[in-house]
Amino acid sequence: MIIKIFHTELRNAEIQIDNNNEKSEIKDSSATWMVPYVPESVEIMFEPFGITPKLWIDNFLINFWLANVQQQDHKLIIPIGNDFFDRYWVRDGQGRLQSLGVNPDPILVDKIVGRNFHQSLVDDIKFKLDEKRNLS
Amino acid sequence: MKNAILVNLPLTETLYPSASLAAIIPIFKTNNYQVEVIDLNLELTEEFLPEEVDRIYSWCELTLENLEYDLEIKLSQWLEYKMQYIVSSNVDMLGVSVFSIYSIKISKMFFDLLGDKKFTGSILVGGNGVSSNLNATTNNKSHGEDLLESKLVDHVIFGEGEQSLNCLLQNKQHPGIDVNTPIQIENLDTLPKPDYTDFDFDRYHDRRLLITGSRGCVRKCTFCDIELTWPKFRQRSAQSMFEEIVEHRLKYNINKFEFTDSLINGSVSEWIRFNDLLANAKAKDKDLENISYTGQFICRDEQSQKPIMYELMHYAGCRQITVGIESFSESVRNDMKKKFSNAAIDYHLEQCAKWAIPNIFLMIVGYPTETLADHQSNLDAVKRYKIYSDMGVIFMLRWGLTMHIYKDTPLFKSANDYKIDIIKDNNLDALYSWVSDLNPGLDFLERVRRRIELHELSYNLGYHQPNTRNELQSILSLLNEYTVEQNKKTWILEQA
Repeated sequence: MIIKIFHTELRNAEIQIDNNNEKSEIKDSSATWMVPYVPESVEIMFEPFGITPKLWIDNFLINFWLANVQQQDHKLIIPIGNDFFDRYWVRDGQGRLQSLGVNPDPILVDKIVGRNFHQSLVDDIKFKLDEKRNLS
Repeated sequence: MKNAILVNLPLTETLYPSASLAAIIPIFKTNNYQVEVIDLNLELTEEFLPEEVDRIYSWCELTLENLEYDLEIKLSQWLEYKMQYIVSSNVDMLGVSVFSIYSIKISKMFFDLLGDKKFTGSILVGGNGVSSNLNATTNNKSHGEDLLESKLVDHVIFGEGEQSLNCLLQNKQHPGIDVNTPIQIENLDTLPKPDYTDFDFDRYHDRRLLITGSRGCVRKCTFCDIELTWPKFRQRSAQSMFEEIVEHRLKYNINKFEFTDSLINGSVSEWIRFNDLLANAKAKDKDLENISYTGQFICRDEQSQKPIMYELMHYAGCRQITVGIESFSESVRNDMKKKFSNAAIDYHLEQCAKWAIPNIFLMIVGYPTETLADHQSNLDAVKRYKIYSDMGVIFMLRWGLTMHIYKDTPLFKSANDYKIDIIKDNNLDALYSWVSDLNPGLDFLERVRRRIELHELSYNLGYHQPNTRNELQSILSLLNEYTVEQNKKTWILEQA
């Protein structure tokens, strides 16, 4: 797993995984760590305090809300684990739904969120396909 | 000072004000007209029940042939009521925007009803819809020509409106006025900036404005009819686009912009320059920092679109791009003349992941040359790219209504080469139930089968597929109307 942060003012950065700390060289305002396994969570301490670094995990620029990253003045607390991408997907879906307000119109949900299987429509189409095929 | 009422007919978006009207309002104003805008599309959604709007929109979109009797009466009475105001206003000119082919049905109703009224001013109609027609495969006359012939309107502006309208208001001749032979505007930078001062932003569903950076396309994809509207690709300068966004941000307090372009990166150099200007301005000016944009984008390889472009797009506020991938089979895309490789898709996704740029992928199921192996490529790619869907990089995947052929597209014109019968089909705006002698296994039923298989797999892997209900309903309607005998007959004719 590759974890990287970037900020134009970044001076120092250190990652903490399972009580082990590892500093990183700051190159082009970024710090990168290669983690040989998927940790449950990591903490990244940085200087100067108060900046909001950009964060990449495996080359994906991470949205802090979707990834449930906690940002403090001087560090990021990042829950990872094997289900990181699944959780990100779930939060993404929740976010899309929430953006439509309370009790959104189902038509709008279908248009914007698009996570309905529409079982009865699929069944109708399959039934009709069989019917037409049998006619031919 | 003269007066004009400008009407926006359904079917258009209700998220934002009509960019078409905003583009021509400055032309009216510089010719001493005072303008009032009536957005009938928006008022329809405000004054009808949601399920009624849904039915009327389906009718406009040609997926519903006729409205229920009661709803048709209600709609016509509603239009008549709106016309009473227009007629009693005694304005010098009524300008009506027929945005697309999906506005033609209601446009016919509107002008038929208006013909009975005693409107004393001049009636002008324009928009892309006037150049289109219903029953496209059998009717060569455009909607605008029909309206002129029926004497329901005084003037029709075909093609781009700005220069033609200016000439019309000054009683000068110009190609595109009343004759469907418009010429394309060469320099988009010479056009006045859209004027939205006559719109009430609070009535629209999103505080967002449209912006046009280019017209036309740099590709000639076989299934696309954009070349009919804009034969040549025309690009505004980066500076001009940037200035419009900043001006509208400061004048109307709008932060969200949506490009109307067929592709925002038709000119890579200008696109990079625009993003550079915007990213720099946002970094320096707090008033601009929340600006974001969306648009349609073309996939290219790394040589053509360097990583810096994606980075600049991120800092400039790119919030979403819509990309016509069409097929994950390189061979099918080559046939479509899409001109990008599978490696280019991989590169594009990597860059979009790196800069958190969400994509809506537009797909076509069942292109005439699509084999089962090509279909399998689609299925394989859906599995392979799952991680990009999980991370919101493939924000949405749209499989659409299966391959349909529009009139006068390159594919339509080369139907003989593909041995496709173009005469027999239905009354829709495109051909859906075609079959090609070159790929006989791929009839409409097979295309629907593949479409459903892709829907099932995409759903199971967690992809977001917008508007699926409408699409599946439309497919079911098409399926109900489909007759196997029709294809058999075609076959016999073809073989003979």
